[in-house]
This record gives sequence, C-alpha cells and structure tokens, in this order.
Amino acid sequence: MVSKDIEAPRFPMASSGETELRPRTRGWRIAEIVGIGHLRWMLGEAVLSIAVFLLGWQLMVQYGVINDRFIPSPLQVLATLETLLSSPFAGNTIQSDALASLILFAIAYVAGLVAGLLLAVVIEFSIFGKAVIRRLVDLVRYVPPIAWVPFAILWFGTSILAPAFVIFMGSFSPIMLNALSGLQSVPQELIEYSETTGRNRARIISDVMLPASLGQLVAGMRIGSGVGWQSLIGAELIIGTTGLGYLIEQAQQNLDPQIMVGGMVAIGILGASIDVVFALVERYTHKVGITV
Amino acid sequence: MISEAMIGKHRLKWIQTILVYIGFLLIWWITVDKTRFVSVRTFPSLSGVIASADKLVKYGYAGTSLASDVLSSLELLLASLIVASIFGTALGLLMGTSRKIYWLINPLFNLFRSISPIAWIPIAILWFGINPRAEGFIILYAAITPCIINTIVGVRSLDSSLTEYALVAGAGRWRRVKSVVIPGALPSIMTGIRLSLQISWMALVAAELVGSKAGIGHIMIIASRELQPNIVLIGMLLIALCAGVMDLGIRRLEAKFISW
Repeated sequence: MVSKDIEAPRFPMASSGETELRPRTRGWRIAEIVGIGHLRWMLGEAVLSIAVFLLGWQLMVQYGVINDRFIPSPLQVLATLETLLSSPFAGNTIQSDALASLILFAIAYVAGLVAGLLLAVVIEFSIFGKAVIRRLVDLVRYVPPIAWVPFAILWFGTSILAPAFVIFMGSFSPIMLNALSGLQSVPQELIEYSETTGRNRARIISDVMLPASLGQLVAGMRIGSGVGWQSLIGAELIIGTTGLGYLIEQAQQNLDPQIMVGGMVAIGILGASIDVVFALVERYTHKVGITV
Repeated sequence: MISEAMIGKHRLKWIQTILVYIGFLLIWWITVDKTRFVSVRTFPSLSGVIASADKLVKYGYAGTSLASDVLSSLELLLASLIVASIFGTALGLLMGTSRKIYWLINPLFNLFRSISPIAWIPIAILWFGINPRAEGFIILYAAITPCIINTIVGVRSLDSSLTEYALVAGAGRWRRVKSVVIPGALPSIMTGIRLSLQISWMALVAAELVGSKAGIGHIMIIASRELQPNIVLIGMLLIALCAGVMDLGIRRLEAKFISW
C-alpha cells in the first residue's frame, strides 16, 4: 500500500513559519485555531460558508422539506425578531429582555469575580483557607452550577436573587480555581526577591503575585463569563420572570418556534459578544502582562 | 521514590481532611438541627438528610425508585457522551487534517458554538417532546464542542517533522492519520473528552430540571417545589459523586493510554 502521490504535504501543521513568533501557549493555540486571529479570513470564507448554509436552510423550509412548525426559516426568524423589537411578547420587548438578562448577568458576575478572587487569595495565603475552605470548595467542585437551581428556588423563591445566585455559582468557581492555580504558579524566587525589597504581605500580593498571575486570572474570568452566561439562560428557563431565557421558555409554552429561534439568536449574539470582549481583554493582558 | 516522610505527610493530610469534614458536619448539625438557626423548611438538616436518604432508597421519590433515576441519568449521559466523542473526534480529525473541510465547517461550528446548549432545551422539547431523546440531543450538542476543538488543537500541535517523515516513507493519507496523527493527538483528544464529560453533566442536569420524567435532576426539581431541601441536597451529592467518579475514571484511562 504505497501511495504514489508524493506532493507537497497537505497537512496544515507542516506550515508553521509565521506562527512561530507568537507565544506557544495552549490558550493562544486555541485562539488561533478557533478564529480570533483570523478576522480577515473570517470575512472571506466564513461569510461564504454561512451564506450557503442559510440559503440551504431557507430553501428547505420554503419548499416544505422541513416543516416550519419545527424550524422556521431564517427570513421568518428575522421578521419575528423585528416584530419582537416593537411589540412585547410575554410582557416584554426583546430588547428589554436582553437588557434585563445583561444587567442580571453583570451584577452576579461581578459578585462572583470578587468572591472568587478573595477566596483564592484567602486559600493561598492562610492556613485556615488551605485546611478548611479548600476542602469545602473541593466538595462542591463537581456540582454543575445549574444544579443549584432547586436550592435557589428554596432560598430565594421567584425573586431576582434566585437566578443571580445560580450565575454567581457558575462564574465564581472557574474564576477561583484559575486564580488559585495562577497564584500557585508564581515562582518562589520572585516572591522571595520581593520580600527582600521590604514589601509586606499585602503589598506582595497586590504588587507582585496578582500581576504575575494575571494571564491565568483573565483566562478564568473568560471561562467564568461563559459558564455564567449559560447558567443565566438555564436559571431563567426554570425560574425566570424576565430575560431571554424566560422569553424562549414562554415561546415553548406557546409552541411558537419562531420566537424560540429568535430568542436563541439573541442569546447567541449576546453570549458571543461577551466572549469577544473577554478575548480582547485576554489579548491585551498578554501584551502588557508580566511574563514570568 | 516515595520516602517515608512523604507517606507521613500524605497520611497527615488525610487525617486533616477527615477532621475538617467532621467539623463541618458538626457545625451543620448545630446550626440547623440543634438551634434551628436557619429554617429546616428551606435548608437541609443532617438528621433530615439521613432520614430522607433512607426513605429514598427504600421507597424512591416522585413515582420512581432512586436506583432507576440514577441509572437513567447515567445511561443517558454515557450514551450521549460516547456518541459525541466518536463524532467529535472524527470531525476534529477531518477539520484538523484538511484545510478545505476546516474552512467549510469552522464558520458554522463557531456559529452554533455561540448558542449555548441550554438555550436549545425549549426547541428540543418542541421537536422530541419531554423524553430522553430531547435530553440526549442537548447533551450531544454540548459534549461534541470540546471534543472537536481539542482534537483540532491536538492535530495542529503535532510535530510536523513526524508527519513529513511518514509522507516521505510513503504512507498514504489514511496510514498517516492512523499511525501518526491519532496517536500524537491522543492526549489532547482525551482532554477534550474529559471537558466534554463536565459539560455533559451541566447539560444533563439542566435538561432534567427543565423537563423530564426521570433522573436525578427530575427528583431535585420536584423536591424543591415540594419544599424538601433534604432531597435536593441528596440529589446534589449524587451528582457530585457520579461526576467525580467518572472524572477520576477518565483521568485513570488517560494515564493508562498515554504512557509514553
């Protein structure tokens, strides 16, 4: 079984000349492959590929290959989105639902960020933290954030605090775990050196250790934002009274696939925008951050 | 190369862990059971959890037995995860080794990736009704993403001299993929499967909470509506236990397979 075609290798990894300059970290490789660095490319091939997909979808629904009671066509979704902008569904227009979701997400996410950071510092720098808090965190580590929904219902009822609590749990743990591993990866020599400069412990944490673990921290923030956004949708689906998750849940109650897909598109756009913001922050910290 | 001092340290850690957990149980017992510092109607109590666990094992809850609920969750999760890892790895290999396929699929992949699996739950229920197929679809959708991404990363980060050597040695495309690309990318593929497992649990629980007829999430959501915090906690512990054991299992598998 000897193949006769000896031509230039078609394997893409053979051509790695230009990427050599970039840091060869895992995060960068993923960013490169998934497409952040490929903006120019995305405007070419990506548009074509997506356009073909949308056209196929539209034609399939239009000519009845797919029943539009199950999947509405792209044009129908677009029309629905336009109607939702002006006429409210389930009490709210889509932009006020989106705003409600975003505000809730922002507040709960910031709370998760602060708590995650504080806890990471406490665990790393105190015996109590290492011995006790770390073990309690390990206990709930494998619980997916969505599993907190039943307790959120029990503790907060139908108030806005219930979904907020779920988002908090979702964003908090990746942020904390990443911050912790960032802090642990700061080289001992660096800490010892800064001790000789006469800084006290708080100054060492704020001046040396946090900047040195910034890359990991921001990576954790990005993961946390993704998990938090997912948790938000899940929580709103089950216990929401406003927001995009509530919108698609109500659409499901009304068996209205057009509003459902419209809501999903809105969720996708907002989720992707949040991720892009964090990707840019990540990129920026790679440029300015201390590399150890 | 394990010295006696290290064993001592290890044992000390275990004793510490057990002590911390006993202390935690004690504090829990005092604040909830003894002093009723928080209401037992919304907060699980130690004695209540033990009593509920006993009842749950004996009689089940919400019309099904506990074992059947746990089994139905695990079955669904494993089946979807296996299908997702096979298809995800295959798709990842195609996208990783062929530029054309990558260009074709990646934009669509990114498009769908931005819509979180949980947002698909309502439409999955519309398509399939409230049954395991809807849940399976959600898990599949969630689990396939990390498999694809990590397989591509694994293929792309291969040492190019290896594949070039295989090419020079006259290996055909399939031979190259089979004996160079797959073994080389395996660590990354396994990482992808492990991430898939985590996401699968999230998707499974979300799907079961929103609409299902059986499963751990089903028990939990009914328990929370009937003000049974003890049963909710048992559900969470079961999830943590199953997810933890499966994660450890995959790590073991990883260590065994990737011995070089």
